Amino acid sequence: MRLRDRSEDDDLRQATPRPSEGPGADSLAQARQRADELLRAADEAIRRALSTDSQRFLQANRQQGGQ
Amino acid sequence: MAERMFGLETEYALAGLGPDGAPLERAELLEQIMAEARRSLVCLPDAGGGSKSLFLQNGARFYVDIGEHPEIATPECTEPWDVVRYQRAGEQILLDLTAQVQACLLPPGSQVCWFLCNVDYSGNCTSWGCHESYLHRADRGRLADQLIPHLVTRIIYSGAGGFNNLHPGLEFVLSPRAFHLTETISGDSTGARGIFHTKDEPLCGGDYHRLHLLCGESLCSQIALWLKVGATALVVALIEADLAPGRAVRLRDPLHALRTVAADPSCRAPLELADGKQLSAWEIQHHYLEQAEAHLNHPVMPSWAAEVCRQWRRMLDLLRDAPDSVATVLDWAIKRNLYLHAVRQRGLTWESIQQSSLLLGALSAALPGLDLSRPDLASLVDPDDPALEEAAALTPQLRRCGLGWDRLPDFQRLRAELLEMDTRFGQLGPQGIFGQLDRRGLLAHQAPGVENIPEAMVSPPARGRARLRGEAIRRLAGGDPPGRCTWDAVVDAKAGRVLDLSHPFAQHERWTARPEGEQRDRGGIAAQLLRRLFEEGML
Repeated sequence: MRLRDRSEDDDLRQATPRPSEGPGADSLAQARQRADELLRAADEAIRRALSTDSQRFLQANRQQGGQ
Repeated sequence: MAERMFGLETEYALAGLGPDGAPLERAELLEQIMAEARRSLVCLPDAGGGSKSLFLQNGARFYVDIGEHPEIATPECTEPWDVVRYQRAGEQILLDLTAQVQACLLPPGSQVCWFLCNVDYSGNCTSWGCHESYLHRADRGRLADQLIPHLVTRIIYSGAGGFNNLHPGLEFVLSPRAFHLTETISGDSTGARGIFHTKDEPLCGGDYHRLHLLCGESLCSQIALWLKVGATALVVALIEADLAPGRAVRLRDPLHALRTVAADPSCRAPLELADGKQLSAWEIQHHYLEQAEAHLNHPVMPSWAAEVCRQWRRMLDLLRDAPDSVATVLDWAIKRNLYLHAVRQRGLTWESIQQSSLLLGALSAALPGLDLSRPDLASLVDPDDPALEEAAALTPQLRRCGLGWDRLPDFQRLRAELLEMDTRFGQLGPQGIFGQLDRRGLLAHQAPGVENIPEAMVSPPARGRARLRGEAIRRLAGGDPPGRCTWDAVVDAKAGRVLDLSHPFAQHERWTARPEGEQRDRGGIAAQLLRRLFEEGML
């Protein structure tokens, strides 16, 4: 699909976050509970993200300085 | 109510990896991406940017900047939620472009990766930016003084988090970029960068100035980005109204304070003020917030000021219990939570990591030039070597943490993994860690009103000159001879006329025929463009 012809994208629309009230006034206990839930799912996300050789990845991703 | 205007310029880290994981040649990859952009996007070439700079139909600019960093500048926005929308729209445009390049031009199995980050972890010790621009009419002489305490302390919510890449070990900080700011005030953008950047290139006519900030960082959290721009825009408005919002909180040593804030996840470390008092970053932010709230009805304030203050207060309320309270909200706190978890999973403690970092720091000082990533590092080191006295002195401390020289390779592996995690956190697309967690509904980072990103990919903001630019680009794209564009003008080469966008809040198109006498001679970028095109026979 040429981007020129594109005006909508269903996948993107689904991924667009819903408007919310922002962080809200959750109690600290609730915030900690959410953080724990995040950690339970984090292992899978990290496994999917990382390469098998981090040192090699870092070297392959060498970046010059910008502004 | 006044209108405010602002935008972001984000330099991305780009990596092309071949099927075997080896890096692809970056200059060639960039040329392929730019060629695809010229072919598939509705755009006009930048009148001053050669083949590596384009203005897009949503009013944004896409170009290759210093250090081979592809960069997207959002169109000029008048509301903070539009900044977030256009930032995300730009990212999706990049992903779409590279999907095409990857599918059609690269060897099967190759990967093109975009990273939303600002420091390099390969040992290069480099940094690149996410710049902010704020249109204003403030007295430029008063700007730095009043703004710097805000810039130093806002990183409690606007810090990207990550590791200080100038440290040989692992030093987690709220803002890795902070360690690349070596001056309080500077006009340099690649060397001696300042907390406050003195560049003032208005890119428009009238009596406007453009505050250009390079101390900020690229962010994944919507609310962090939204608040960074919204709160800073309000502080600039207060300064413009001569209300001196930073007068009572001037810092004795802003650079020292910046490093203190960057190293403090509690946001409570005391910072010394010029008058000898001490306040924390949280308290200084609270001071600015109260100034904004007290002047909500001032004519310089925009219509959305109350909403920014509401969210600002909500964030500061949350940050009272930092870092736990923001561990699913702000970039730095989400990262910190993940990295602590990774360390614990390996049976280590954060304290042992800090001790190992100290050891690496001492090693690095004792043996400058030693490759600290060598897997056989431990065997190179003899703790009894007098040349390593400083490093050897750390051995008892290491043992108390259950570590020793023999654990260094383990630490080095963990270090590399954490640095890759930090890079992958903001990777665009399905592989990025933040994106994965967000899609599973595990984060609480959403900002109000950030919606309909697909529309922002193809349409400019509703207000300001960006709308006129985007509409003109859509009409002129693909023309023969091709049109041209700058921030403050669009050239219709076929009709021999120029759209004057020198007024940042222009609402109606004002086309000018071939420039004559006085018009050719007046200053400004649009006039220079007109003059050059006229001299080149394009008008």
